[in-house]
Amino acid sequence: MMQAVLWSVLKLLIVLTFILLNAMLLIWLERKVSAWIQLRLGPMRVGRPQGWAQSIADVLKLLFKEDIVPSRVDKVLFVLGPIIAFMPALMVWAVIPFGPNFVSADLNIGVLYIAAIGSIGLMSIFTGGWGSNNKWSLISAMRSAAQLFSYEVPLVLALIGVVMLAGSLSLTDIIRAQQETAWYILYQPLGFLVFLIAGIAEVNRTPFDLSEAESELVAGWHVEYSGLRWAMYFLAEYGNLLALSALAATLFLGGWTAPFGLDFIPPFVWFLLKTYLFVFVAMWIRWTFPRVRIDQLMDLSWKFLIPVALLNIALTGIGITIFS
Amino acid sequence: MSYVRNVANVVATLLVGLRVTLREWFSRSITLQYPEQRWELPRGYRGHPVLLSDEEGKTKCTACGLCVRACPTDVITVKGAKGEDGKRVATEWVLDMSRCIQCNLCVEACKFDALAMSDRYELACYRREDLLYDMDTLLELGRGDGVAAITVGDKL
Repeated sequence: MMQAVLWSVLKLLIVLTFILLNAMLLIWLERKVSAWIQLRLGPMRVGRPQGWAQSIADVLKLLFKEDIVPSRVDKVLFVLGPIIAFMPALMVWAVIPFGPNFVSADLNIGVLYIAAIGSIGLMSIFTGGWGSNNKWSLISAMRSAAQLFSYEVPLVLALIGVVMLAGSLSLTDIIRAQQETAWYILYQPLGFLVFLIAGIAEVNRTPFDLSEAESELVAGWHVEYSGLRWAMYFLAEYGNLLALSALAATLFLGGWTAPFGLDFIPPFVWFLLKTYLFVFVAMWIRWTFPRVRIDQLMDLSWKFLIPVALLNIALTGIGITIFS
Repeated sequence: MSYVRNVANVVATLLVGLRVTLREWFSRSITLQYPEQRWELPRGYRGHPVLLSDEEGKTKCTACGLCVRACPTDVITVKGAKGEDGKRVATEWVLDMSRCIQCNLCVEACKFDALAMSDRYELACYRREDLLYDMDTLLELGRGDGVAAITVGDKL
């Protein structure tokens, strides 16, 4: 009993450290990838080689900055915003399996849990945007609400195809089901596409970063934030990206399953490789496409993604009926 | 049908964009790590004028004042005196780099080949007075110290 509790706590600590370190790594990686795509070098000076310590330096700087709470803000909401932002980014990891026996909590409704947790992210943006008492923050929060609300529908609809195939909502079971057949990206190309687009919109990344559109809204919902609070929003953004990538790897690429019988590489490494594959794809997309307009954003979700996701569910249903 | 064609078109153009960035991703960066790496200056790059010296390392300037007259921004101050051999020689030659426009007119005007344009471009300093280059400094620069190339350019 005692050992089980200790083991759970240890797993929790490992996962938390993993996410925080990875979020910092991702910030550095994003700067490097953007630089490479634009024929630049990116951070080079802080830490050699390749400026690896840049994120550490940034976080330290943000830690020591003055904690500014503007006088007319709603103090409770203002303080609460970044904390709520960080929560879903961490909580998603509870159900994501890192390896065969390494999952913090193997819920039998894992997929449902992730869908529910994901919608908390909207709360943080709205809390911060409303509490800041700033017109840009508010516009950004409103946009964000419309955006996240619209994209949650296709995201969850895309997950349904996977759940239908696996016959389970538990992520571990979904991975096991993929081991028995094949990776679901092969069975669910449409579902995967919808998941990828809706997922990128869910984590507020370019081309769907209307809520922080720098050119028109200054910085969006975090205009009034600085120092550590801002850093928390920023880390949460990358935590969310990592969580989304891990989810995509788990649901569509077989999670920690080793492909082509390459079993000598541990499952944890495979899981990381697949996760980072999606991270790179998300960055690649970010530094390729310009931001969409708000009406285009809505059109894409309601007129394209949702019909396609529904079609995917119908096709999956027909396929299952015919082949089983 | 037009809806499907539209979607296909969108996907195709998105892929074109992704291909472009992927190509750039794996091509060489054009950034120069400045203090360590430096530009190769184009031939004939014109910085500010420096003083040339003869074989004995003395200035060729005779303080005739042609460069002073030629200078459009009036940045050159020259004072001369009779030397030991009875010829006039410059004793003071000051270039006010804060106003020099690096136009080459002083070099064109000089009849004694005492002036040339250098390719020195790092002129930053902390005080305005540091921009007054005196004769010793300019002679030093003219001997090629900290200067990669000296161009005399066209003469009048």
